[in-house]
Amino acid sequence: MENASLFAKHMSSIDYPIQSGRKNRIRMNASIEKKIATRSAVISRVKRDLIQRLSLSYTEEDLHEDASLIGSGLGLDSLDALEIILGIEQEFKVKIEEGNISVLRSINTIVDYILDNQTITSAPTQTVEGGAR
Amino acid sequence: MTFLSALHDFSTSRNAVLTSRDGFTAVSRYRSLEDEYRTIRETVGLTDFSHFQKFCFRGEEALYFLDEILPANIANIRYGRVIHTFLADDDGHVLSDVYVANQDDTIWMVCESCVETAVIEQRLATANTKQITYECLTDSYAAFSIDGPQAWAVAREMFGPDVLGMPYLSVELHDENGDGIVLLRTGKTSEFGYLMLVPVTQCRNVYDRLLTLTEKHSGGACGIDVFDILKLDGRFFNINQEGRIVRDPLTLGLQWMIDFQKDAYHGKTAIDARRETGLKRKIIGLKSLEQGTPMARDTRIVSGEETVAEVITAGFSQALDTQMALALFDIRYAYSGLDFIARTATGNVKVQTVSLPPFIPRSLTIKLDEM
Repeated sequence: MENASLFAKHMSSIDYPIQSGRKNRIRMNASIEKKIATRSAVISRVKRDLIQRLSLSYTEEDLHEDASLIGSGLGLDSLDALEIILGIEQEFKVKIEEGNISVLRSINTIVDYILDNQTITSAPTQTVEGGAR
Repeated sequence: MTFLSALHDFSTSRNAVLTSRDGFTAVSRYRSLEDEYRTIRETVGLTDFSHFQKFCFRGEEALYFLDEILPANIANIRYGRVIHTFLADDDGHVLSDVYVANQDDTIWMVCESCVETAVIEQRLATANTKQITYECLTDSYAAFSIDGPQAWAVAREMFGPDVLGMPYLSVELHDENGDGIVLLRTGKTSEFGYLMLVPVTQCRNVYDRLLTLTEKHSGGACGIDVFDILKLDGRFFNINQEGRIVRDPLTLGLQWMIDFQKDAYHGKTAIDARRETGLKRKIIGLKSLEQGTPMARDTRIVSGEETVAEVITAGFSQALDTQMALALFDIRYAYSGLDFIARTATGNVKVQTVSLPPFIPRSLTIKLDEM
């Protein structure tokens, strides 16, 4: 009975009644804002690189940061994994140890790795010529 | 009428705890959820998923028919491969989590749904107007799954060493006393997983052998409820939790299941319109940073005085040794690595958004090609 009522409630709308979508927003906490800015910039660069190198038919907005990359999710294979590692190393000046594919579980785990290991934080955004297959 | 597995009486005789929803009754659990979780994360669990809706299609047009219904690029599934996608209603809301397998002259469709079989069959009704042979196999086939870092060992002993060469999302047919067992290399736990579609005439025999092999590898029988937490901390889409509540595939992060370049599929118009508008909310993972009242559905997540998210589903992850949740975040705050407060029923708990999947599953460290 409880399940049925819950289901009926949520069948009615995709606009889940969350309060966080309100128009009268409170100014974002400065520390959170800074973390988001840093992370958001890296996410965007990683997504651009993935889309370009792997010729993905998705926009940046289409790629959820937690979607699995290898096997399930985007279903990339081991050759794709090598392309991704090459791209990350070139773009962010970080080194990913050979065989450490656990970094490639999702875009978010890649971004975590970059943020934890990047020594040159201001690496310029670069277009990778001829990277797309 | 409630669907019962062909093993229902057998399961009941083994003291299974049962659960009923969406027109079926299945085994909730045999042991504690903690025990069953450890079984699947550390060894191998055998689960009866016979309530999954199962269909087969034959005929030259079968793939094209399904391509017009489902959002993935079904028309181009290679022989021997499986595609993971969903079935939506006309409003572009998720009804079912779907595998489609291309196996020789037969296309198999396996649905884990938040609606009854009749609703799924309605979506497939036009198959009868095409040159396709279409059959619902939910009653005539059982579905068993073996999941865990040792699932490959059970599969190898059951079907032979060649199964180790099966890539993720592939399908093979195996003979069982003249009947065919459809073996899908799948899994929604982030561990190794094999799903078997077994004719009910063979299901008791096959289940008994699988259980013997599973126990030989220190595993055991499991119910379906442990998969809620396995999917949560393995970050696999769960139609019975976030899917049932949020329903919009874009907010759920299921864009990877959609080929946006396709001309038509059920729900495309609505989904495309929402894609054009852009996301306002997003599902993000959370972990608790301290002991306290667990997060639960509708728990508010706040930053200062602002509500930034509400919890959709939560549970205790033994892999993380803490409470974990998925929450629907205001898109401005939908990033991992941020600290917030969860306003639980009895007080505040510090929480942090996390990158998913949040741990390295044991199966990821096993190389099947070296076995």
